[in-house]
Amino acid sequence: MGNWLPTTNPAVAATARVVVSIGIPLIWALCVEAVIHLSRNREAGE
Amino acid sequence: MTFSPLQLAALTGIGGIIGYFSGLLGVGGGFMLTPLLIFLFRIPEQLAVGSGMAQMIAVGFGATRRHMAAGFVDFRLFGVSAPGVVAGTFAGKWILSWLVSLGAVSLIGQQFQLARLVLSVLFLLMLGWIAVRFWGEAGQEKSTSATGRLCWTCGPLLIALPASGVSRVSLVALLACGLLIGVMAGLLGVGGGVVLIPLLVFGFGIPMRLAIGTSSAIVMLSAIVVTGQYALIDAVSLPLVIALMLGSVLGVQIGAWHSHRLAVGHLHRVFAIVAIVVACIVLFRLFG
Repeated sequence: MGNWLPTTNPAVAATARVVVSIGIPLIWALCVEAVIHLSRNREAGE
Repeated sequence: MTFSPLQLAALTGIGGIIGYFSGLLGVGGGFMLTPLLIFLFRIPEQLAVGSGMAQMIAVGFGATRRHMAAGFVDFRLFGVSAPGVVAGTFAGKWILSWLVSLGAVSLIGQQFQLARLVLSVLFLLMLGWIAVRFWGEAGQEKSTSATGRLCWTCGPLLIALPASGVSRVSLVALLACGLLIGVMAGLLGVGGGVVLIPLLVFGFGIPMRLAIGTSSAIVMLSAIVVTGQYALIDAVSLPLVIALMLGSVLGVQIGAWHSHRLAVGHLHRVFAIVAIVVACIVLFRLFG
């Protein structure tokens, strides 16, 4: 997974891997929650 | 490790099926996902655990947020269990790395990777227990007011959990409970909700709704810590995580929608059969 990182510093690469690995699922979950929230609001408004 | 488009589609499908049962029956599904990744898709143990726990962050986030909004998370219980959970995840990851480093062993005339052998035995025990439990629960109304039968109210360092209505409980027992869940997450890549909820309800007398809510918060914590640990050693595959998330998030929504429309009691038996099928896959692949 580390190949795409624009760094050769192992500490920076490891930190970036941790941030991306935790961040992407969290962002994904937030997007799903936002979609659910919006669809419920739309249903309630109709 | 690279995945073909067909493999990614199959992984999305598996994520969707497990997510469907998660939404339908309120179980995490890690105890099915990780063995399927290891034994069906032949994904290395550490990559399967790391990636499985990363997708658990996405699946568990919504549930934890909803439980928190409804006031079903006991933050004191969460806080005292957290150090045990975090320590347990480090221990679990260390045990798995150690087992992987030991390589292969010869047993009954066959060569086995020790990590794979130990994991398969633990998964078989867990899947067997889950199958028996869900088969027994089929057709029964789920109790929301169960109180502790074992109630570990004695022991060193007694504390109170006012939000859960528990006047005294051993801090050491809570830490040990958290440690067990952390080890399960770090070693097996499972959230441990199926073990934690009965422990909290029957061991400590925590009301069922609070046990479920607090358990989801604890599982989220262990998922985040374990993902971080495995990302450090480059054992989280983003294509794998995204494929699983695509399927599981969709599956959870369909399962949750269906749960209000289907006779869920009878579906417990279907779930028990699915657990047995996964156990059979583990068994056949181990000797295959």
